[in-house]
Order: sequence, then C-alpha cells, then structure tokens
Amino acid sequence: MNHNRHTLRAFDVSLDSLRSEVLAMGAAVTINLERAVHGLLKGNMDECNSVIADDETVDQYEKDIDELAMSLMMRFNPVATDLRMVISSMNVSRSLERISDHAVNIARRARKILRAGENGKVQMVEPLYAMAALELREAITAYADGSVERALGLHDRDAELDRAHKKLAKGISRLIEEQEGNVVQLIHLLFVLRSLERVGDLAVNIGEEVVFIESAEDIRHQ
Amino acid sequence: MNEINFEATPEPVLPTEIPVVSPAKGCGTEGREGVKSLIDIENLGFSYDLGQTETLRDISLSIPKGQVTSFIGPSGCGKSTLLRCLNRMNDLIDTAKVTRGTIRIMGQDIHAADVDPIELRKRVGMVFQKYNPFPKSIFENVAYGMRIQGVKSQKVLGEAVERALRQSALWDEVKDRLSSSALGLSGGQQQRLCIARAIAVQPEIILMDEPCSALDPIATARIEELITELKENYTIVIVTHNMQQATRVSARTAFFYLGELIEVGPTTKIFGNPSKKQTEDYVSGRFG
Repeated sequence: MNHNRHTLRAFDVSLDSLRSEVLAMGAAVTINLERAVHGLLKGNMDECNSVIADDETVDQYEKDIDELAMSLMMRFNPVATDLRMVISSMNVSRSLERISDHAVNIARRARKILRAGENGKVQMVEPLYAMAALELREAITAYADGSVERALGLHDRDAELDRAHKKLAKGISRLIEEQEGNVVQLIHLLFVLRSLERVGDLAVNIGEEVVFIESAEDIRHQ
Repeated sequence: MNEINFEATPEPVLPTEIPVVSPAKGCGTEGREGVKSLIDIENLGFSYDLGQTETLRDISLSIPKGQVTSFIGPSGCGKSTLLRCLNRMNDLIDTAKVTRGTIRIMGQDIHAADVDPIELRKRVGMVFQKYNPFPKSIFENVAYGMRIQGVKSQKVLGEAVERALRQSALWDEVKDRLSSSALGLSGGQQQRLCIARAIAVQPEIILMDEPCSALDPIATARIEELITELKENYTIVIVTHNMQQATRVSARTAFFYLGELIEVGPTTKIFGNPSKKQTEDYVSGRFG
C-alpha cells in the first residue's frame, strides 16, 4: 500500500471510500454467514429467513462498489498500485457476494432440514464453519491491512479446511449409504458442508487479490 | 540565433545500416538480446552555462527503432533538454554544451567533428509544442525542406508533398487549397502540417516536444492517432506532460527527475508496476 497522499485530495477520498465499502460489505457477509449457520445449529427459522432477505443488501454493496470503482477510473485514471487496488476491490466484492450467496444456500438448506424435524447431525457443521469463518476473517483483515503474509497464510488454512471437509463429507456419505437417520436431511447437510468449503476457496481468492494489490504478483491458479 | 547554412550537402554523413547493439550500460533498458537500438545515449551530461551547472546528469538510455518512446517528468526535469540534444538543437544556444558522454544514432556519435548538424536535423526531425508553420502556403511549407536541399522538379516536389500530407492525415482536408496560407488552418491542422513538413524530408526519427499541449481534445486525439500510424515508418520520441497520452501512444517510457533518468522500461511496467518508488509517486499523482 502506498501511504503517500495524492496531490488531488478527492482521489484519496474516493480510494478510502472504496476500501471502506468493501470492508463494510465484508462485515455484512460475515454476519450473514454466521446467522445462517447459527440458524441451522439453533433451529432458528427466523434467522434463516433474515439471511435470505438480507442478501439483497449484499447485492447492493456489490453494485455500489462497481459504480464507485468505475467513477474512480473515469475521473482519476489510476495507475500502478492505485489501479490494482481499484480492480482488485471489484474482484474482492465479487468473491464476497458469492460468499453471501453460499450463506443464503445454507439458510435455505437449514430451513429444509428444520422442517423435516430435529437432527443431531447438524452439529457436524460447527467445526467446519469455525474454520471457514476464520479464513474469511483473515482474508478481510489482510485486505484491510494490506498484509501479504496474512493473505498467503490462507492457502495452508484452506488446505486444512479441505481435509476436514473431505472427512466430514465421507462420514455423512457413509451415514446415507447405511440409511442411518433422515437421508434427505443428510443430503442437505452435505450441501451445507460443500458451501462452507466454497467459502474457504473464496477467502483464498480474496487473499490472492491482496497479494496482487501489494506486490503486482498474480498468484491465482498456482 | 546563429545563421543556419541551408546549402545542400552532397551526401548524408550518418550511416544507413542500423547496427544491432546491446543497450547502453546502466541505462536500465529491458529488451531482448539483439533488439535494434536506434539511439544510444551513454553517460550524457549537459549544461546551459558552459559546464558550471549540469542540467542533465549521467543519462544512459537506448531508444529502440520503430517504437514510440515517451519522456515524462515534472517541469524542469530536463526531458525537453534531452530531446533537443538528440538533434543538436541546443547548439543554437551559445553557452550550452554537452559536458560528457555520447549520443549515438545508428552507431554514429552525433557530436563527431564530421557530423553536419543541419544534415542531422534532416534525419532527426522535430515538432514543437506550439505549432509554427511558415507564413507561406500549405504546399510551400511542406516543400521547403526539399527546396533548400536543391530539389527543383515540381513533379518530385508535388509527389513528396502529397505523400507527406497523406502520411500526416491532412491531405483530404487541404488538397483543394494547397496554395492557400498555412496560417488559415486550424491549430490541429497546423500541427499536422508541421508534422508533414518534418516527414517530407524523410527522417528516420521524429522528436515531438509536447505536440498536443496547445490543442483541443479532438485535435489531440487526431495527433495521437497519427502518431500510432507514423510509428510504422518512423522512430518517435515524445515529451509529454499528459501521462494518459504516454500510456496511449508509447511502448516505452522514461521518467526523469532533477536532470537524472530515474527509470525506463515498457510503458505497461512504468505505469503498471514501476520499480522505483519515485516513479510510482509521480505517475500516480503523489508529487510533481
């Protein structure tokens, strides 16, 4: 991050606004994800409904960020770090929007699970959610701080999350095969785990954008 | 100003073969081994006051053939001074001198004793910030350089004028009024006429010192489009304060500050991911 201020104050104000919007979106998405999983774990239908409704707010954030970024590019012709910041902020917002979509998926699945009756197996989600939530938090913090180290650390965290997901998914698949418990609920649970695994992947994408902003290195697809 | 001798010289003194040379040492150029370099500047120092103070210090830079190279930097950094060194326009200032180093064009030291500056300026043409057509007709403006070289044939002159005006994207606008005064043209047209005048004598290199700064946005866009076409046949060096212009027209960019070359490289690198913090601060509007 270049901490020197621009000669044109409006340029700095616009960049700061863009960064703030992305961080606000990150906070909204984190809350959505938390509430979706909470709704599932506590059997709270209202919470699940709120998550689905509040996704609109996240979608609006994405549009606002795109508009802000385009205005920045048109008015100030950013180059170097500034240009990477603007482009990557748009990409980060895209990833956050998709995380929120996964929160909505979890909320929808949660409603279906809850309607089918109590299921103790939902607690299996908790450790995977904890890992996904931590990854998301680390990714957003990396963006806020411009921390390449923190961003690069996401790869290892995500590898761990993938391993945990694989293990849990295997466990649930075994239960489905052995027809232990409500099979339909278990299938929904598999999709919930899959969504959490995708949240981890998207957090890694955010980290890659942070690395690109700070170092101009494109580490995607490595 | 010293009187300029316009008598035609029999043969050009610059070689016509372009040697394949390595980039000048320490100049920071990036390029493949064997990239054709048309201009090589090595450890150049320049002064306006007989060497008491140096306006340019230790400049080492190679300019590739067939590309547009931009010189950027804050006012007073020496970019126009360096540009004028390339065709020895600074010779017209009594107290100006190259204090050290060399400038080679196609391998030839342009300050060698046997180099005729007039002939040099034919091969290295120049377009200035303020368009400056002669108070003559459109035709005579473009034909002037050839006339003073001794070309008398109206047919030859006519063909050359048409060729130059077509290359400058001006022919269609003026072909029916070639005998009318150049001063009746718009600003953008006058600047294109100056470009036609420069290319009529078939230079290898065209130097442009902020060619669009006196023009409106539409005229500027036409000049930039023209630069994009001209680079197919000429090597162009352009000084510009407009960084977006540098990104639009040039393949390579050199950033200068306080008489020194700070960084040079592909334009995409200078504006995308410059190596020096000073460069980044300048191109992103953090100083200057």
